[in-house]
Amino acid sequence: MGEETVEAAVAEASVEKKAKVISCGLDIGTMNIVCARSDSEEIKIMRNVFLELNPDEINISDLSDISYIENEGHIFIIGNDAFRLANIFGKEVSRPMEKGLISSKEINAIDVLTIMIQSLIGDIKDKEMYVSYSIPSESIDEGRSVTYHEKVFGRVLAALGVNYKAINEAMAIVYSECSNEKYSGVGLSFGAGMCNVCCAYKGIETFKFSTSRSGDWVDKNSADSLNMVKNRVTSFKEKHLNLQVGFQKEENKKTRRVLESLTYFYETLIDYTIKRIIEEFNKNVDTELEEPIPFIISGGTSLPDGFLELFKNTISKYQLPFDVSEIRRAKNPMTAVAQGLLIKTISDVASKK
Amino acid sequence: MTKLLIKKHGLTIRIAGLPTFRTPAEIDITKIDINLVLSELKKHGIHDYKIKTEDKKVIEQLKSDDEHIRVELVGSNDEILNIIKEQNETINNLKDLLIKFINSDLKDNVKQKEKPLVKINEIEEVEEFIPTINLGKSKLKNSSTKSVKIKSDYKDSANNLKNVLDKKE
Repeated sequence: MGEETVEAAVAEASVEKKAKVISCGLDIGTMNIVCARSDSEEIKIMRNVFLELNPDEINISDLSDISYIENEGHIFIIGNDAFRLANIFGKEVSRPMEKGLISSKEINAIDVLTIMIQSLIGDIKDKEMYVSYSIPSESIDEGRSVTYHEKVFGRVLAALGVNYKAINEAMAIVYSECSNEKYSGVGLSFGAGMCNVCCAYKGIETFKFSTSRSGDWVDKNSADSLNMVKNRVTSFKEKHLNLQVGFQKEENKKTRRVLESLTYFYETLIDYTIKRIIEEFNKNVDTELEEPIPFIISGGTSLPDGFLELFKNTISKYQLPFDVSEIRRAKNPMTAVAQGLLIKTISDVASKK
Repeated sequence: MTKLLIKKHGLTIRIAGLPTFRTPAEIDITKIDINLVLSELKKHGIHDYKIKTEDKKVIEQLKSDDEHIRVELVGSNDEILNIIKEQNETINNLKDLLIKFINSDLKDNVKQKEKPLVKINEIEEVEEFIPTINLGKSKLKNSSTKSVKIKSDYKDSANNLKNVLDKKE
């Protein structure tokens, strides 16, 4: 064995040794579960839904390309495939989470949820795995506690044999996006079930809260006002909504009507969130922030074009109790939370050594 | 001779073995099975009647307020006293048995046997706060997750974060 080869082998062995400690960021959202691992550039995303089918309803051989879990004679189709098959069978998918928190209706399917998370986290054999998972803040407009949600996912991760820690979802956005500002900023996560807000100053949370108004709230209120099914409105939103272009130019009358409704509820959502930020800051922060801080907008509900501009326009109408340096969108609104969680996990693991 | 007496007016009664008759009536039913007569009367919804037997016993069906059927056997005073005496003896026997049972070890044995049964029931009724996770029989097939490739220097960001947080400490 030549000198170079020995060196290469030693380097490889050392990489292998290092690779045994794996950090992971797990964003558990109402609509999606997102997972980022320190040993991979790939960030995995899975729809947080499943569909239970009786074995009499489907032939196992028909499921060759479909993600599913077999559990004591039951078949659970998971992720995007659940949506597809639900339409075929005329069934409703089960959603383990509701308004940002674990749903008590689906808690008995905890095994299914655990396997979904296991498949996202991936291989942990012979690895020391550290996982930070996202939790929302207590909601200011709904009296639901976060404790149960936090404990359920703690148990799920314990069952998978990993080290785990719960971290606030909006704070994770600051970890992900505010490195240049030394982790000062306001992270906003407009998810499906909740809007989470966290104001951080130099890496420390100053105040945080959540509201129950976000994507599902917009869809439900639009659907109610148009006398439509919510899923249909969601589909319109995902396909057609552009808050920058507006709804006036839409030629199809029905689509225009839905888009107009969605636009109004988006405006109300943003206005409501900004008002709550001002209120909560005044209530919780006594000192003045020394430097202007940025607003970072993230989450699936913030994806339509024009959301950022609408947010900027709305906030400009208010006198904020602190200076804002910039309002920007997270680089990857769908994965920012998972990435922030991963950064915090790596930092925590490094501090341990 | 056994006689059936029905005082109520306007009823037409058919009992097998007898000609059809109208009430009020007093009919000789000596040759008819008494149980057949009683069941026929019940079938016709007749509660207000008397059956007189040769030994002067009277089977009387009284119409009670709540429509419940009550059959009374009224005999001589001696017969009634005998029945009371017999019942009294039975009650005394039961009382003795109970006293014996209370004073014996058997009572403790029964209690000890009951205890674990109660415990098992209690365990079954209590719902878990968070259900136990059992992945033993669950199998994932064809895991297909959507993935995005994002190049990011997590280590650098984590170091920056660690430095900021260390300074604070």
